[in-house]
Amino acid sequence: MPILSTNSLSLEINGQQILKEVSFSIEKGEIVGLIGPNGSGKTTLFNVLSGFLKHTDGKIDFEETDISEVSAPKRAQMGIGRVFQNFGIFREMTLEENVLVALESLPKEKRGEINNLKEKTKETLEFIGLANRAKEKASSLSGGQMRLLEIGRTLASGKELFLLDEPTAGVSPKMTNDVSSLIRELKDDGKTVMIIEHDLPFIAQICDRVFVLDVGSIVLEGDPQSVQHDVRLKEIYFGADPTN
Amino acid sequence: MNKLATIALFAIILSSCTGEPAGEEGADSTEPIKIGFIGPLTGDAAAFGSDAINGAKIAVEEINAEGGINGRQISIIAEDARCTGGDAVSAAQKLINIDKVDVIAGGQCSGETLAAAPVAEAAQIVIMSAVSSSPDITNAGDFVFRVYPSDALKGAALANYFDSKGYTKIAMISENTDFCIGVQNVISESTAKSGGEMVFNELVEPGTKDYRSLMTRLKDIDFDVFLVNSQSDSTGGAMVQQMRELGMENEIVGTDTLDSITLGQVMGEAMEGVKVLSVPSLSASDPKGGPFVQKFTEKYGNAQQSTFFAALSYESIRVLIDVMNKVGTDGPAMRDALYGHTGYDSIVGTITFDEFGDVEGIPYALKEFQDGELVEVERIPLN
Amino acid sequence: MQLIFNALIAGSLAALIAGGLSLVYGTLGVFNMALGQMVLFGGYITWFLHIQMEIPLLMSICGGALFGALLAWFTFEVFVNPFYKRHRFLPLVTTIALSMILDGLILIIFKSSPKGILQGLKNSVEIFGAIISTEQIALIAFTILILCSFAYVLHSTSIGRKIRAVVQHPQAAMSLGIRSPQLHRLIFISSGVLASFGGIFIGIDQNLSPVLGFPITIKAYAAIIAGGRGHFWGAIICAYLIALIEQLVVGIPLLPGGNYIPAGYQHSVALFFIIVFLIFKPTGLFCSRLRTA
Repeated sequence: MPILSTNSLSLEINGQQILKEVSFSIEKGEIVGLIGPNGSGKTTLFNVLSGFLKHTDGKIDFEETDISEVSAPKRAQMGIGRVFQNFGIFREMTLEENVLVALESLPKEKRGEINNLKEKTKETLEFIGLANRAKEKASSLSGGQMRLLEIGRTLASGKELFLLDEPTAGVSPKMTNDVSSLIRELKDDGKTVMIIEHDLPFIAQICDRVFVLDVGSIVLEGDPQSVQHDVRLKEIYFGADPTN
Repeated sequence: MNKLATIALFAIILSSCTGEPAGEEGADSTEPIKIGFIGPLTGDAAAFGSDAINGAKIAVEEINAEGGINGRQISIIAEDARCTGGDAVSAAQKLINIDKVDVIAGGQCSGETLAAAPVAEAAQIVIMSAVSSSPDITNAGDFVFRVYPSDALKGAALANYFDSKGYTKIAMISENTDFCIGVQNVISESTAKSGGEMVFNELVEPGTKDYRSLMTRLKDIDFDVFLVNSQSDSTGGAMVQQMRELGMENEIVGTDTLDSITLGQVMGEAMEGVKVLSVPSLSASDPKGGPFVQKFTEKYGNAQQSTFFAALSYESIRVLIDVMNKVGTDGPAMRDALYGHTGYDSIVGTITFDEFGDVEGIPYALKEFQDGELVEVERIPLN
Repeated sequence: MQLIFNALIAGSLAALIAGGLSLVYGTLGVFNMALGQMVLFGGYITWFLHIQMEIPLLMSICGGALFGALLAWFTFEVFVNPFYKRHRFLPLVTTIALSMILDGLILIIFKSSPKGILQGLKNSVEIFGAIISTEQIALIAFTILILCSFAYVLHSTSIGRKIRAVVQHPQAAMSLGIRSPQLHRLIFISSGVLASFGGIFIGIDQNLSPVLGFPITIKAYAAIIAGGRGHFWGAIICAYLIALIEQLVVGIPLLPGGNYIPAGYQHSVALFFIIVFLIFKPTGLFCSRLRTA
């Protein structure tokens, strides 16, 4: 049973077609990569899936429920998590508060399952290896640590589907491994992940499947190896260095 | 609270805004005669602005009830100039060019009158102010008249008073408006002339309510009397209150804007003993003005600032109507008639205009706040 | 010393108003130009309850604050909520319209003569050589109490954490399930309550007159811009700072030869300081970095 599927999803802003009949389906537990040149609509697609933008045509199903008319906070409460390219953490709040506010924002029935919010916060920070900095402001963290905090926080709040927008952007090469192993742990936990990335080797290493988006439509789809070696990929990027 | 009255007032303002263009001038002798009114209907000075418009409306209603002027009814078109020159110019232009009024009553603030005067002058329309007192209005133009004594006289009167008390060190805070600057200049001159000294003389932005630091400075200065030179009762009241709060017991004298019946109630004991040099008050028991005061209170409740202002406005309209009865609505003819208009007997005094269009015959009074009431202590006749 | 007290009095008033505004601007990104009129309404209602209806002062103050909340709620639903998501500058226009309506209503209902909530002279006491009235001490203490309780809510409660999350990263907050529209409403209403307290403050310390509205709004905006967008404490500290500069400008001789800057430049000098400051630190006094709006 697919956890997320879209049916000819389209978005038009001021007469401009940003997304064109995007249809796909993702199974529970899959890690799917989303690649494509700048401006191809990757982040826009994530914004439509998270509910920040309302699509103009088509529909979105999450866990077999049509969520087209559901607001962004409601979608989050249903289990769609999001990690932002520009770091979606609250910089002026402490690490502890960053996790705590995520737990406190859960719907009542889910929050009830967690006995002790403080305890859960502590566990989460230990899990991502930042427990010793719980009282520090999040702005003191390095890019990689911010990313771990953001993903860890999303995980702690029990999200089922993770939309990761360039999780390795702004992360040092050393920390990239930590981030990718955390993403693998998500998979082991049975979570579903969609990743936007420019780093093709990273995608090849971690994803089960890859979608290539160009000018608002999915033009290629398949396992990482076949996509990576598909001649059309080069054409889409017009010869530009895909790692850039 | 007299809501209806104010709503009616707003209705007038609104209807004047829609301003249907008038027909050709004097084309129809049954057309109503239009009087334009300019005054502060909103803003800090709206207290005396609303007294003035209400006084004017009583005059118009009375004349209309008596059958109007040669069978023509009178209508009054009010424009809000918010005590600023810029708004007064637009108001005058609108009244003259769009409403085609026959005469303008206003403005009330000196700044309004000074700004509107050239517009009226160019259109050869008489403009008559009820309560403007700036000395500059004396030379503002041929068509400019007022029924309020010039502050040039106030300077002399205050200097006399200070002299009689032996005050030589004068402290003063003025708001930066035409009226207050007029007073400031007059006082500075007359103080210098009589050998006194301005030991503290500050000018603040209009509408300032926080005088504490100025008062803190004043506290270290040796002065005999503090002169409140404010544009409105609310700012003047703040000066008095904050000065008294710092423990200064010196005598305080205010000008016309402190002549406010609400101040005694709002400020209570802070106002106790504060002197005001202004035009006389008008009470319901006054033999001449009593009926007007009763009528006013009945219609509009207690005056926002002073029934005397309302009465001045009322009489200024009556003078205009008197003149129109004699010579019609032609601007230059009205002007000439007003200059020859002597000894008009009114509820506020005998109104005569000098060669500058300034009034003679309205006296000053020195009043004092006693138990929250303004009591007249001395009547000061002016030449 | 007296100057510092004067600044405390003026600053407390500004801080009350700027604090709420800073939250509104920080979370909704909306300019509420009717703020000054909301301040006045709070004061006038309290005056009406206390002086006209002769209700005890404390209850009247609660009444004024309650009315402030209702007015803010009404404002939010009618003048802000339908517009601000389309463009955050639309409420700028709608609330200017509202401010004019409220100005007119104040004039019709309360008339133009000045009103004071506490009548008569205040009891003054001397502290460290400065004279201050007991009412003013109470007002300053009350302001600090209110601001501290706001600070507590903001820093140590779940709702406060959510508010800060929405200020710092609205999208991330939403993707955690924080329902920002409800928070927006709540914040707008609390800013209305703070504003009414400001009006009550004016009514007790000075007197209420209908034209105060706009200058109050402008000064509060100067404080929140100088403090840094959405920075609650920054706005409050800047409100006090502007008040202090204003008092110092007229209170001590700053010009050579022991001369004073003319009092008419009081406000201009204070705002000039802010402008100079922002040239060197455009993100405001307390924001460490520029946020992408």
